[in-house]
Amino acid sequence: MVRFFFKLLYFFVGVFNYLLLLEKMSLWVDKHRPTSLSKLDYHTEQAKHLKNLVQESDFPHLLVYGPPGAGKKTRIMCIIRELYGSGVERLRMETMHFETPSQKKMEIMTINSNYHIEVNPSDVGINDRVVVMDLVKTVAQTHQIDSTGQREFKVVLLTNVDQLTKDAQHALRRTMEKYVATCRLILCANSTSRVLPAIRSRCLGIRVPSPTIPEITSILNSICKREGLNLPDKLATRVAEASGRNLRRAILMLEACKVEQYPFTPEQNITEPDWQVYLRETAKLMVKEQSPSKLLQIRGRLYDLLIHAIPCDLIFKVLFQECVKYCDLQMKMDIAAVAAEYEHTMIRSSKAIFHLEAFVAKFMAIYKRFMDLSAGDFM
Amino acid sequence: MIYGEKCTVAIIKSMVKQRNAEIFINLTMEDGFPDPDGDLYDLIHEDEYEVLNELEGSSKKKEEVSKQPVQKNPGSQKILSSNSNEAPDLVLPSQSGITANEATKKRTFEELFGDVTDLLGDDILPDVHEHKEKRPRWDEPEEVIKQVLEARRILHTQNNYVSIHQTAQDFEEEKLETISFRVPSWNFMPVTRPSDSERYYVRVRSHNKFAVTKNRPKMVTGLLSVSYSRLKAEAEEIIVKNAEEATLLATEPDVQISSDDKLWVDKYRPQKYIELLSDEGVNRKFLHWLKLWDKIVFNREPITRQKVTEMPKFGTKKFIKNKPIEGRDSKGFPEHRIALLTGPPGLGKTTLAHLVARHAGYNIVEVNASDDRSPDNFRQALLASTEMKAVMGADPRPNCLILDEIDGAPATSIDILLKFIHGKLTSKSKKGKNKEEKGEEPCRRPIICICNELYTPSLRALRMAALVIQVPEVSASRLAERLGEIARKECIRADADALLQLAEKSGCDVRTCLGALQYMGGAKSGNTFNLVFKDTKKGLFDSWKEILQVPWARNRVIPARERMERILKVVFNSETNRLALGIFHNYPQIQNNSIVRLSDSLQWFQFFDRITTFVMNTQIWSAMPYANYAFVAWHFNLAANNNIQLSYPSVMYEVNQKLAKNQSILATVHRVSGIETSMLTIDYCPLLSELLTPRLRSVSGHLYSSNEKAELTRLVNVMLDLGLALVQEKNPDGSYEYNFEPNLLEIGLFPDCKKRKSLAYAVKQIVVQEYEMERLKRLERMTSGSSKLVSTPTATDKKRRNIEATEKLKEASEITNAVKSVANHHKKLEPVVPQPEKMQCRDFFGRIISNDRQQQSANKISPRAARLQDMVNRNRVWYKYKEGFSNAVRRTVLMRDLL
Repeated sequence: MVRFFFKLLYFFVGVFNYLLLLEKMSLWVDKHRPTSLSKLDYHTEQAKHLKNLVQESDFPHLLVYGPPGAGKKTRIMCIIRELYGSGVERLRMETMHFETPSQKKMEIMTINSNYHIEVNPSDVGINDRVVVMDLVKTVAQTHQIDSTGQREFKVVLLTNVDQLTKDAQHALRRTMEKYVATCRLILCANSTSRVLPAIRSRCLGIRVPSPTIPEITSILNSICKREGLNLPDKLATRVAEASGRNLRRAILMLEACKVEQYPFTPEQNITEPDWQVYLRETAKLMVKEQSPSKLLQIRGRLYDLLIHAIPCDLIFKVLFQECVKYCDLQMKMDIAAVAAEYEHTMIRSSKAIFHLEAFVAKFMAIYKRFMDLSAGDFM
Repeated sequence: MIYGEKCTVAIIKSMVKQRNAEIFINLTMEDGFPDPDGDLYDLIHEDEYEVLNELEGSSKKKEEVSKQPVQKNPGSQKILSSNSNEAPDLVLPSQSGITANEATKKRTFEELFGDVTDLLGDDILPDVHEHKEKRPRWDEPEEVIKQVLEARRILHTQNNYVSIHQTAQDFEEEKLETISFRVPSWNFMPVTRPSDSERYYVRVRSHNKFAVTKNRPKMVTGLLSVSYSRLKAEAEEIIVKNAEEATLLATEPDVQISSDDKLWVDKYRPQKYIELLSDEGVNRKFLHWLKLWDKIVFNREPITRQKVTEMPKFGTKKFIKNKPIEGRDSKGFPEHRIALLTGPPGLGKTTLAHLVARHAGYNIVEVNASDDRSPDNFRQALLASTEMKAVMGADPRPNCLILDEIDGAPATSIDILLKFIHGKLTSKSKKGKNKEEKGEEPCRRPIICICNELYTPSLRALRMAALVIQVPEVSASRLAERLGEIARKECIRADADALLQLAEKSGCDVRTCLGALQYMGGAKSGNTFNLVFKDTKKGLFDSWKEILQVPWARNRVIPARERMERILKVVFNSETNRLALGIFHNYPQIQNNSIVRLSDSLQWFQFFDRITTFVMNTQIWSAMPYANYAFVAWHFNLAANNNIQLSYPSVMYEVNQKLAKNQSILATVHRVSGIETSMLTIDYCPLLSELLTPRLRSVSGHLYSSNEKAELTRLVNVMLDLGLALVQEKNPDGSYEYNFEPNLLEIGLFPDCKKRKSLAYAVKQIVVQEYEMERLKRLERMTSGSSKLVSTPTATDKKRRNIEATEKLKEASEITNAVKSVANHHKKLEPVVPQPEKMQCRDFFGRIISNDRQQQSANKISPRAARLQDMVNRNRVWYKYKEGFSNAVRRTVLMRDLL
């Protein structure tokens, strides 16, 4: 019996290409990440609910959603830990191999423990359906080895669900119901709008909102306390504001500040991400002059952003936010309508540059018309 | 042969006559008519002879008489050629006064030289002869071109004369058929004779016909007259034209049964240099290149620009000879070893290549798409055709390789070709034997490549090496003229306007035109050409130009409807995706006024992208045509009136390349760290340049304060977490620099943003040392399965590390010493008797440690040893499993046993 067990184990080890044990990371973001539900710093009410949920025997599929840097992943890991105990902290990285129907070989990286497997199917682009089908099935079809005193099910954590193709999401629907006895899915997404309603209805939706500025400051303070540093309140607030309520970014910024200059001063320079600054400059250019030559210049900048692998929807969003600052109310509405429409088309198409440039041109056109009108009024 | 098949009845008769004529011509030619292309000569001239035959009757004597005017031509030609022999620039000592009879052994003058003399052909009328004195030199293209064009014109007039005879002869035949008693097949007017009320049918003719009849005797005399005056020729030309049109109209279509199954395309393929339809400048450029090979192939200098009359002084000749000729390198090879003829299909590129090569005295070896062009066969063909020479047969000309349709050849074959012309390719068989001799011997024969698409990727390298000659489109009017000529020869009605229309419609594709003409058997102005022409594919640049430029015709803008149709046609024939990219890339340079219009057309780009993505995802191709209307919108919004400069949209490609590179960097980091790529780009990368540059002094690592040491450790750990390493690289200026590998920092940095500081070189060196140490430690921890999870955080503390190491060593020695030291194979599992008081500790060298020292060491260190002792004491039985130990395998073998 024991021998058989070992054989099985070796078989599984052989299947996966290579194993990597994940070490605890040394950046503050990872170092000070809370590991249990009771240690979470904010949305404590929700944490309490989640704890109750885990303690019940009936654990549903979850769809955790919220803006980036709100702590979705942290929360999920806490839930899994709550489910299985500290065993989940021993993480391995594995590469799994798949083959598409058209015989194209793909590999995808997974992070897993004995109890759960985490995968980002959108890594393989349009072939994510194969990954979802194969992976969920293989995991779901094997039972827990030792079910006494354990949960009967394993957890499959799929991240970036909103970037899954329609096909993959449809593939997910059936597997969710079919293998419910052996496996639970935890889906993690930025927004539910791109998740199929069919999947939404099969999951318990949990929204993780961004932490508020005071919450972020208190977290930053507690980190500094643990690191034995002295953080001025003003700086903490400034960092929190600069981060745009993104906790991950806030902590990284704080650490960058620390590396740059310690002891802290309240008026210390805070490094913003370059792409954000770059987009702000781009928006300024758009407002400054509306001409085809300017448009050409902006195209170069947009290309630059795309080269640096900044996601196009983020470019769109930030660009819009920066532009709108220069507009009055009526124009704001117009531009918001245009932006919404254009972004929608962009997501459905393949060449982002067309749509970004179209937005820039449209903004210029609207802005110019408005300026001409108001100039006419003065004359 | 061309005029011979008018009536089926007449064919046999004419064939016989033709024979006679041919024999006769051959006879006349063999004495002093040194044309290597005798057959061609026959072909052209026999027609005239034959016409004359029929005109004058079939008796041979008469024929001889009538031939006199024509014979004049060979005569004049003879004078011409002899004159040109005397011309000093053409003198070649060995070749003066060669006759055609000797041609089998020695190459004739014309054959080798192919100068203006035979350019101007054998049909030159005497008045060409008149300006022989000022015949332009080889390198004065304008004048030569002018002259060639002149000759060509004259050739046409002559042809027209020929057709006059034709007309006259027809007329006589038809005269018999003007009145008929039965209902005839031609146009008629019924007439009743009042006397016996017999009914006649009288032929109805157009008015012009009578003009011809009137002029007829005059024409005959004109033909027979020995000299022409230019004026007369012109006058007659007009008359002839009229007459001819009339005749053609008069001839009945049912007479035109084609008895020849040859395609017209082949039948009327130009046989002489002057007959070429392509642009004279191109022809000349190509011929010039081919002539540059004369030095290599025939060991003979091509004619130089210098007029030899100017250098009668002694010794100057040598000087001239050594002077390098432009377009050649030091060894006498042409600068470009290959000529690449390129242009749309049906312009006569192949014809041009063949004709010119033959003209320059080469034997043509053609390799085209129908031949196997796999690298091996290609190599074989190359070597065979350029290094060998026909020994058998009467034609010992050097070979000239023509690679037709080379854009379809595999890239490897083209590589071979390039190697070959640079002399880096040796034949496989010879490789072993005389490698040194062959070595750097480049190709010694001209190679001509022909392709349609110059910008095929596989031709990129060839384009650099070759002399690219663009064969431009034939002008529609000239093509129409030629078509008219052919139509006349084939006796079909063809209206000049209709032919022009045909030529324009086919995109000046000669082959298509001829095919259409033969198929339809005529062209009237009323005819609409509803022929399906092949998809005339335009190049990308042409298509872009078509879309981005407002078309003008006769000083007015073409109406919108027509413009739209044109655009749709252009788009229909080409790759929409690249077309759209090109327009997107180019429009900002063109449209320069209205931002509103731009934003409108950009909306169309969105539409286009949406449709294409939809089609790609769903494979519903029926939606694709809608995308074409975007091009129409772009045309109306963006097209410029003035001439535009376009560039290839390579930016998109570069962006994709760089993006792919960055994404692969992100993927590697993701693989090591497990952080999602999107988070990496947005949050980690921009801040990483700060996080990875702590304030460290550039002093030795030992001198760091505890704070700095902590910073260093943190830095190394972060680097390891993210899988970054510092790699030493050499800068172009020779200095060394450490860079991050993979360069994750670069992703976070944008141009003209905040300037980042970086670590000093010395600091980076320390970091690298520390990094290596930490990396090895981690590796050790991972491989040793025990992997103490609590890692020692201060890796920097060397001292402490040393202590640790010694501790470990001591522990190990203690454990081993605890077990009784016996030879491996004698080892047995023995029950351990717990004898704590007798437990002896030995040091590393096996010496027994005295009690006090033992106590010291026990106190000081080795909690593990203590644990072991404790375990031994408590448990009655224990064993230690040693991997890889086996009694069965090991035994003591003494050296003497082996000896």
